[in-house]
Amino acid sequence: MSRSLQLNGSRGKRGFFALAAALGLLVVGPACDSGPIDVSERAAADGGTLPGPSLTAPTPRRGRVLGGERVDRIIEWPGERPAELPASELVGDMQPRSSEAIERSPVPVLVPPSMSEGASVMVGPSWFAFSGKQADLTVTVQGSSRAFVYPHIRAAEPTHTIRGRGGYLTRNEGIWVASWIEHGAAYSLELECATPFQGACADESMILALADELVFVGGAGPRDGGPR
Amino acid sequence: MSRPSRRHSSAVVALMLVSFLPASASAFEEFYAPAGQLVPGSGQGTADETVYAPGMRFPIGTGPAYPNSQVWGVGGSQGPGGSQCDAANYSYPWYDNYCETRSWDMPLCPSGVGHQGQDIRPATCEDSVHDIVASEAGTVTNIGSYSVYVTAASGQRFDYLHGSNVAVSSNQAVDKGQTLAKVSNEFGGTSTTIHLHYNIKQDVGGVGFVFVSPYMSLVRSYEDLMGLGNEAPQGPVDAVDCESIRGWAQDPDAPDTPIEVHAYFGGEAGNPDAVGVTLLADEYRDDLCDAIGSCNHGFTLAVPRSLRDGQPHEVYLYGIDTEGGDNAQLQASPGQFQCAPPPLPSGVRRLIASPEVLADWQLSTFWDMAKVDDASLQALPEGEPWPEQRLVVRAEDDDTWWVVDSGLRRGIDPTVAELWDIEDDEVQVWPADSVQGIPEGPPLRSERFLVAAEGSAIYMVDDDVCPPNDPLCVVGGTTSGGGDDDSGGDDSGTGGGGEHGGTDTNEVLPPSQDGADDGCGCRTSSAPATPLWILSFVSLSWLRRRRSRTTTKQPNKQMR
Repeated sequence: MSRSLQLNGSRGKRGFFALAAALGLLVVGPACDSGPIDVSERAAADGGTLPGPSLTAPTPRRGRVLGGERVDRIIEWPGERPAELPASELVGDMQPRSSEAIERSPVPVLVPPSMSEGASVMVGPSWFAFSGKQADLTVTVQGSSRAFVYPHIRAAEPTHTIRGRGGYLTRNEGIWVASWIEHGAAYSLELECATPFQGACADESMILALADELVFVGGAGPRDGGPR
Repeated sequence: MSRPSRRHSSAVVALMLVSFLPASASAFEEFYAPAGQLVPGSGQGTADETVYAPGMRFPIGTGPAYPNSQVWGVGGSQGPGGSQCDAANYSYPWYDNYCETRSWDMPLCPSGVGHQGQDIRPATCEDSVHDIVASEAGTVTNIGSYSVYVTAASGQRFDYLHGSNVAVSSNQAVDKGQTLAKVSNEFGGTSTTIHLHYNIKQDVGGVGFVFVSPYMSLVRSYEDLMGLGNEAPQGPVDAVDCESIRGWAQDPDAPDTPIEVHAYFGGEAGNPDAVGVTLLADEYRDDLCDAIGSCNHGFTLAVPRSLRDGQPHEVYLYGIDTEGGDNAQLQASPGQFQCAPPPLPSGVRRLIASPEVLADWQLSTFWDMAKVDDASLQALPEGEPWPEQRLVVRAEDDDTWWVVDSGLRRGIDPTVAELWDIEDDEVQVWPADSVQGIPEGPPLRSERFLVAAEGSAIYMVDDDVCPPNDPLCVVGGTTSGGGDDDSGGDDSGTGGGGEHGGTDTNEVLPPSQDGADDGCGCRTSSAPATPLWILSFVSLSWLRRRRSRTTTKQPNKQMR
């Protein structure tokens, strides 16, 4: 008897729906090398009939995708208006390889001007990462154009306002973390103090100010004439 | 720190000995408490058994290791008095401490707040002795005062906190298993125990960047590290065709227990380009009862629509060892299939604006989506964007479920509800006149059919729906190409380019008459006047897609 697949999370267990096996009998590809265990000997010894699979074919089920489904976000690149042009002058203050990384970023790169001197921008196939240090502060920014989608995680209501948008604010081992969605991409900003829970890390005001300060410094731009 | 739960008490002694036994020791009790079972009194965990980082490397160089709470453990600020080096802190079973009580946002925790990662103690209570190693290959994207972040190519980020003797530098490429630092208690002068605080951070559809539970990823990677071996699972793949993928699997160490089967499409397990799915092999099969002494070990896996593209595809199947040993590839694996694309249903294509929409509607691009060429996609007229959030209602005096879509209510047959994973607890109960006041549209389809062309956005093939009183809405109209005002694209609320047609402004909807078709296949009813707030809510849920969505919320009162 089929059993519902287990799903996790606070919403409890759910069952995936069973697809109606209404497809044709097209069989493609090599048959299996060995079938089910040969039970004929045992059946003969028992003097009974050979057991076989149930007469009713089970309905094919879906499995849960391991590690989540990867889904590209639709990125809306900043436009041509003056306020949206990249603050490219900041790039010159950064580590040498940052300029080239910014040009390859699949996500609009946002950085805090106050932390850009000596900072570094790195990129991956679907992300960028900014890391900057000033005195005893470390600031990181991440942007992502590809999400993991899980069947047990649904849209959550934002709980804070970040850059005028709904987002989340948390503190992880003294490190402030703000996250939100902008330009269609997922962003995260983190503030770490050499002395946690004090000074700039005593409360959320500094990280919220940093979030408001973020400016667009460039990126690879839309692919194939996509939305801008 | 509380004692291990009763079910594990008899195992603790055995497990202490296991450390000294050969890896081929026979079956033993689990070394970890279930996901979400926190130390009593430390908060509300989440019973999330998802392995968010399959195939990762355990982040401490050698075992054994002891994930548990450093705050609620012996010597912790909330735990029993004593030394952090107390034997209770360095013993099995493990305890999850993701979502342990903290004050700040954690959207994936049941209370909405909590601890963001897992504390892990190394083999012994010694500072700066035990290696912290990279769980995945990637780039060191940050070295802070007491943090090291490594971002993998996938965008997944792994955080290693409180280490000393950092052995890597920013922007350095690292391999899986490469030493990053030593387990210590670096915390900028703040007192803490010797431990690794470990996070996994991802961009998750529906939420954005968030810390996910690392617990089961740690369990699985620890099993690999410690070589918890025993007899490997067995079983064959009976058949692979366009109807299904069928077979059975059994672990001889647990002969009566159905086991998981992992199927990888497009490569073997461990291939980063392969998509893996998990399925419990628990189907009853007569032929197995005598043959292997147990009946419930069959599986019948569907063929994903996204791979029904006329191309040949391989699928590799593995039986998953119940005790964390090597997972055996099933006999006759891999299989191959080559299936013709399914015919596109009739209708319009409705834009799925973001992963958040997929998440809220529980849609799957792997199972639900057909890949088509651009011409086939463009041949489908474009309709209203798919609703960003799923709103299901019923009248207080009626069991009929309705989904609210573009200002219309669309009936949901009970079997259709199951297809769409809609359950009782999601359905909002509204006053009857409020429900009746929403014009009725076409029923929710019995098939979730997503479609996309190479490099395009994702669409749902659906009936055409016309928001009430929308002069731009024309049934079967073509896309005007006009965009929204909010080209800034906040919150991925628009997705761009998804506007419904109606360049011909002469085709304005005729005034609706009682019970008459108002030109879009929708019917208005003679329901009593609907309270203004209900109309406003329904209108807003449609209008949100047409305006820049700036959500202003007051910060929550935080737990202290």
